[in-house]
Amino acid sequence: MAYRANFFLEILGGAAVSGAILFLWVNVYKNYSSGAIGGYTLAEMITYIIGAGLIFSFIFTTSQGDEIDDDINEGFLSNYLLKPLNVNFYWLTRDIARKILTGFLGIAAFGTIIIFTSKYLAGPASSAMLVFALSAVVFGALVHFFLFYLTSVISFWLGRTWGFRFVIRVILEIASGAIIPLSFLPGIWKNIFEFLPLKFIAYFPMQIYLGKLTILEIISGFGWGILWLAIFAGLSYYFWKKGIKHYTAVGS
Amino acid sequence: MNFVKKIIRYLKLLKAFSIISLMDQMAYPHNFWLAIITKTLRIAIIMLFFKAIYLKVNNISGWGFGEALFIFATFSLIDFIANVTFFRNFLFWFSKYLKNGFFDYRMVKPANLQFMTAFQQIDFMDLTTILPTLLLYWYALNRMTAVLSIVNSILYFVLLANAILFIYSFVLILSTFNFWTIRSTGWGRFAAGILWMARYPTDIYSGIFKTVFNFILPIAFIATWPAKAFLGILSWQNILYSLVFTAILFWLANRFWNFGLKHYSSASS
Repeated sequence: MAYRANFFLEILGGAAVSGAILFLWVNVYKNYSSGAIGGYTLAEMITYIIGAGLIFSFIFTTSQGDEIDDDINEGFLSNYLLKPLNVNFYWLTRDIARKILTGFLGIAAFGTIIIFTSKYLAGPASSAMLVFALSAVVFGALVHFFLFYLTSVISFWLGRTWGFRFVIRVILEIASGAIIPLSFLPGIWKNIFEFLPLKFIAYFPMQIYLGKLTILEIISGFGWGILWLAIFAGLSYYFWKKGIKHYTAVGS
Repeated sequence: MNFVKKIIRYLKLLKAFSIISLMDQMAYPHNFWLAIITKTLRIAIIMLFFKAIYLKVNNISGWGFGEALFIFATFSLIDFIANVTFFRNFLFWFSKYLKNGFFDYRMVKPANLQFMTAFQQIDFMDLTTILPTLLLYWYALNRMTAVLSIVNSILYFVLLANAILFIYSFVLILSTFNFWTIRSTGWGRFAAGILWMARYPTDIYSGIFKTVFNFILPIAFIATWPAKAFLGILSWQNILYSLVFTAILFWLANRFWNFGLKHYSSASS
């Protein structure tokens, strides 16, 4: 937060992008005679875009992966290893703390868009669904952390690895459901992205919030989420153990 | 003759910048190639996004699938030119060079300072996105019903050049604030967000936003108006307005840059 204006400008840029997508969808609905498109009413779509945009643009806009990359490549990791702390837990808590902070600031910055569109916004399907949706956001945050963690710890072998994170960030735009509900995508893409864990970042929480899933589907979704997280955690542990043996640092 | 010599000298400088940039970007080859794949992927993802919408509706604010893709292709071309050349140099690297003193070092070089700031790093990773952009043009043109006309095509290219000059001026103004704020990558993210809005037809905006994005912060100049000119549906008044507006903005941006330069006192140690 040392550079508040800087941060505010970044958020404003993100809000402009979400604003444009909102206008686009409003126009799509204007030209459509029936009330709902692909099972979404205009109110649901606007709520979806704002909710998904908020989650995607702010809660998940962190440089976490880049920082782990820096820690490994610039030798900061050596300092952490000498301290009585678990480095991986430190990285995880640093990431979660930043997500919470940027999430709150994001809500504040998104306030203008929310005020402009308040008459269109749909509330949660029920208070239970709201709780489930928020839990799903936490799941998404963990999936996000592990994705970027994995593409960062391979720095032990490959040096700078921002290219991998760049690929993920771009794929996330669509595969997380941040700009369009996955159910709108053409056949094969819909199936692929609904299978991948990236949907936990935006699509799954917003589906729950809008009441598009049954209790059984929610439970099954969380079950898949736990399985994916277990896979990620296992891979992370494996790469960390192998990587730390490979780690060397030079300099003062 | 002197002018020609000057141009040749700056082209040589540009070539030198390009070679150094390529060497720098190839330092980590896997990142270089992954970035190229990703940038191509990004175009495919937006196409998928449009496809998903047009599976449900026939048009958006009067723009059919082919025409909307043509706007996106136009945006991609302009975005490609800006990103390869001046965009990141002004909005991301400039503040870094001010902070680490590299800009001070550059001030004593016998070349135009704005030119060196704008073209210091040529982004070769973005250079490769021209191929998917051209494919996108081909794909969009095959889905359009418009009849090609030479006059409209010429107007299209004139407005493309105008769009580049417009973005250059807009970005130059934002980057000049760096003389006072030093660290301001936020301007870059802000500008990227604003320009990103131009990939959709600006006809989607209504009320005050329509006026703003067509005439005050006219992102319509970037893709929608050139595409309209190509289709022969842009009025002469609007063509004239975009050319005059950009010329004034370019003049103002240069004045502001010189003002910033005059008031600059070294930021580094």
